[in-house]
Amino acid sequence: MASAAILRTDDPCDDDALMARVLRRDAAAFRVVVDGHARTLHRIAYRMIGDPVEAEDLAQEALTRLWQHAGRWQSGGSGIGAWLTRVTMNLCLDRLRRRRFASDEAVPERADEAPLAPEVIAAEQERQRVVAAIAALPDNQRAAIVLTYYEDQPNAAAAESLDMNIKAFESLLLRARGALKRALTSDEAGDTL
Amino acid sequence: MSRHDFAPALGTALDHFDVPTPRDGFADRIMAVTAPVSRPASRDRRGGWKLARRVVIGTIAAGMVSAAAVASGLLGAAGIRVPVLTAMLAPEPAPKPLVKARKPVVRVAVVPKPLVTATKSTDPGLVDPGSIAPPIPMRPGLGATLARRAERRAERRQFIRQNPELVPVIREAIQREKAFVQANPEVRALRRLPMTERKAFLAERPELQAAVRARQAERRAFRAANPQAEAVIRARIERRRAAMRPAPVDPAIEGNPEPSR
Repeated sequence: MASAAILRTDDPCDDDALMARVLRRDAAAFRVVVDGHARTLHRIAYRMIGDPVEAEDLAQEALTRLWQHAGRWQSGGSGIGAWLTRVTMNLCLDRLRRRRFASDEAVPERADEAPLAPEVIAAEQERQRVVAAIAALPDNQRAAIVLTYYEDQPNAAAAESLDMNIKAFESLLLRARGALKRALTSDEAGDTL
Repeated sequence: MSRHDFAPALGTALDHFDVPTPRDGFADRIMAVTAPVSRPASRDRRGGWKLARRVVIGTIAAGMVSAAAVASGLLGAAGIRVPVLTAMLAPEPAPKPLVKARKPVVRVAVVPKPLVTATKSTDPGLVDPGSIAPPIPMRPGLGATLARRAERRAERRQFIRQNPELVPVIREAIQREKAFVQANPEVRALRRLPMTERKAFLAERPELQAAVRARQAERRAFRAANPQAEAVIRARIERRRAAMRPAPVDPAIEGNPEPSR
């Protein structure tokens, strides 16, 4: 794994070199990509979908596409991370669209295996409140929150991942933040009542 | 705008949405895509059956296509001979003998024709089932008429070839004759009469008589003006008259009913 250690994936130039090796079916190079991006993709997918297993599947699908379609890689682009984020986000939106048509089931929740201490119960209740508020957002607004807040992406990169221009994305993000704020504050008001 | 642009209270709330750790072997499962795909053996347990099934289906399909082609006569039209089962199972003809045997001469007695023609049988069992309609009887003498017409047509063509300069002159005469007959339709009835009755016919029709006389004078003038045409036409008329005369009968030949006069 010595060759993998010297490769970085945050530099587009290194990404081009890495993809050249992936194109030559270099498993070590692909391992570098997986180690560098799999967790990120899983986080994005989980916050979009809400199901950890399904999130793993979507992250795996995005990385598999990178391996299979390495020949289509165009050097000098935004980098592997941006490409994978875009593919994962598209897969999530597609999955949500299909799920909406398939059933009206609510977003599955994590199984509660923790001890029922009062602090833990309060923290879990707070988490559920935020998860519900984020899940209630429209898909593209949720995607904007996930990319900018949780993944700390600049607006330009997030807009590119969602295939939007920057002005439209900023407007979307503003609406998402307003909706989230309203949802969380109203919940707090309801709790106090 | 980034993470830091979110309000602190909102950020604190959003931080509660943590993400569970992926299951063990998450990265390894992704790396499985890099493993070389092991191709299934070409002949697995069901491989033999698959091959046999393909052969059977192919044979049946080919048989059906060829049978359809033979039935529709497509291959026969293309000159391709297809061995069909009935032809293959048919007994082969006996081989020809190497030495030709002489055919036995069979003497057949000549049966004289009956003098009286047999009348049609009314027995329905003897009716020929193949004959749908009786043959149309031909008008007597039609063959001779058609032959005579063909002969005249050939004669006219030969005349035109030999006397091309007379063609316009004769055409003019024909036109005048047609105009005369058209102006006097009774001329047709006159010409069907024997020569002996024509005078009486004309005597009853003074206008027609005058027209006929005028036409005769016109003909004479035409002949005088075109002596060459006159000679040719005259010769032709004579040939035709000679052809229409009955052949002279030699009285010396035995069996002739009466001698020619």
